[in-house]
Amino acid sequence: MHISVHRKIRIGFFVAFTILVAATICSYLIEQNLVANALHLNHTIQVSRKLEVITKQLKDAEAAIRGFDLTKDSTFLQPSMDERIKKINNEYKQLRTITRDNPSQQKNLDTLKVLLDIKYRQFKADHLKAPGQSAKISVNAGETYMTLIDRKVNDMVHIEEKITAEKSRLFHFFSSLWVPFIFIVSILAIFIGVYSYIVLTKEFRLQLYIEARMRNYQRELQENINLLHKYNQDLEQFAYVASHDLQEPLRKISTFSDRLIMKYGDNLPEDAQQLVNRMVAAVARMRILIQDLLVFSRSGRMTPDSMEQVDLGALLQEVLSDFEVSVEEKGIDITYTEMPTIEGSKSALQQLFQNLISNAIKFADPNRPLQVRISAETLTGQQTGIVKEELKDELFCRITVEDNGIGFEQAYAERIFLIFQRLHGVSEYQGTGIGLAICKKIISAHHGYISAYGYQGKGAVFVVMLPFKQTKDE
Amino acid sequence: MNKQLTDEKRYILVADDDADDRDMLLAAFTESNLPQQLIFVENGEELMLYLRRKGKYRDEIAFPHPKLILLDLNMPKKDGREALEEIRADKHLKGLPIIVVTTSKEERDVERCYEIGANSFIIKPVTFSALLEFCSIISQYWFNLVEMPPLND
Repeated sequence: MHISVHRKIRIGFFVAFTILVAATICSYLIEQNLVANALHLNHTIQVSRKLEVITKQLKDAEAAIRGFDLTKDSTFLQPSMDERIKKINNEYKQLRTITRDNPSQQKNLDTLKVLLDIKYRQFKADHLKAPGQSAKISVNAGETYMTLIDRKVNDMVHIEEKITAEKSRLFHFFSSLWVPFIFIVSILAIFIGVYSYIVLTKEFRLQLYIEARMRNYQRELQENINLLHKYNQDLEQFAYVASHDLQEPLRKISTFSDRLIMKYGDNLPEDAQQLVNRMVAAVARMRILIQDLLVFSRSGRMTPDSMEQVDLGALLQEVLSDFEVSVEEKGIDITYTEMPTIEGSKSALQQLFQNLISNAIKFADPNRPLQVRISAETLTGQQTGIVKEELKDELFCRITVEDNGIGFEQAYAERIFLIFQRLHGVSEYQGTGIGLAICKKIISAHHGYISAYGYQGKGAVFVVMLPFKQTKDE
Repeated sequence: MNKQLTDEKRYILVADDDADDRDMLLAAFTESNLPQQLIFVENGEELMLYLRRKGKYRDEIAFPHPKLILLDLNMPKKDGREALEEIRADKHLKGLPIIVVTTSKEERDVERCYEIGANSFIIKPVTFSALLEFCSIISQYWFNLVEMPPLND
């Protein structure tokens, strides 16, 4: 299976893009995790430190009270119990704020608060009572609550640590995934990069090669076109020579033979006169052939500026007016439907209609009045069924010229368009066989098509297909 | 005496390289008993020398000034078109009536010749009888019907 280079490049870019997006998302997730972990670590440290501060303050306070009990030295009570309690409360409030999104910690704090309050009361009672009284009991009670507080604090630290451990497990998971992921992505990216480079380089080289070839072809084409122009010029030169130089001796033959007859006609035996007359007739025919050849060689010659919008209806009317006399004399019935306006050379299209109609008149059946039906319809290229694929949406005009003349055998349908091809002897029908060849040439020059359908003894149909617009392919 | 002769006898200068055509034309004119006299030159260069009285054409009596020129288009050295252009560009000659007589009616030739100042464009007759008719029409039209410009020498 061959994948086109375009497709390959597209797939390559799609894969690279997908990898990039995936890598970005993963990086984002891992970074999020990293940040969360760091934040939480910080959080845990803060909580632990604050709990430590609380515990230390409590223990300091207890030690101070005990010291005062033993020495009665009031310096032990500096700072005062109220100040210590205030400090502890301050830390406690901060702990509340820090752990507000953790309900179990909040619950622990609630318990801690109760224990702290008890502890505060003990402190106050201890330091207000008379020295030496039941100091033992209060020490024991103090220690019991202190142990409870310690335990609660340990619980809280434990919870924080547990969360941190969980987070770091996730973090480890992500980071252990991250390294191979980055590695694979990098390898993949390098691979795609190298592959793209190779493909693009290859493609680029191919492109350069194709361009060079195209330039070559273009040059060759231009050379051929120039050659063709040259040939055309040669052909025109030939046509001119044919019309001029070849006719020169012919004219002389006929002039001399004419003079021969005029001057010595009476002295010539009759068969000699006959021979001269035949010679004159042959020369006359030769001249007509040369002139027709010349007309034919010129008929396809069309320049882009001779192209214009031609109203075929008006054109047909003009052409028919030329046939008026013979139409009336021979009782010919010519009808035509509405004709479109198409792009073309007016003089050439005029010639086309002229030739088709005079052809119909020439080959009329002597046993019945001639009827010629000319009709036109608009078709798309596809409907015509004969034009090239790329022209299937172009509009074409189909003109049908139908007569009830002598017709011809369908086998000759192609041949009648060849130059100097005739289906009848010169004695039967005049002419050199140039008319339909000119028609074909004119239609080819208009990028059209012509075909003929003959029905021996019944009539003939000529179908002309002409595009509405002429392509500028010069 | 000479002046009288030139006035009476109207000269037609024929420029044609084809000897057969010159002979035929002369025969046709002679046989038709036309009063005009033909003078022949064989190419455009000779035609210009003749009209400008240069080279061997210095002698005014031997080579009288023509009233009309019959000009073939395709001639060696200097062809009819060039000669025609030259005559029309020459202030002494530009009024001379010129009839282009040639073998074919190549459309661009017809157009061009009228553009550069030909008075008529005629295809050479193909039969002798047509040639006779041609001669008589030329004589009739250019020497009886049409007023010719006065000779300016």
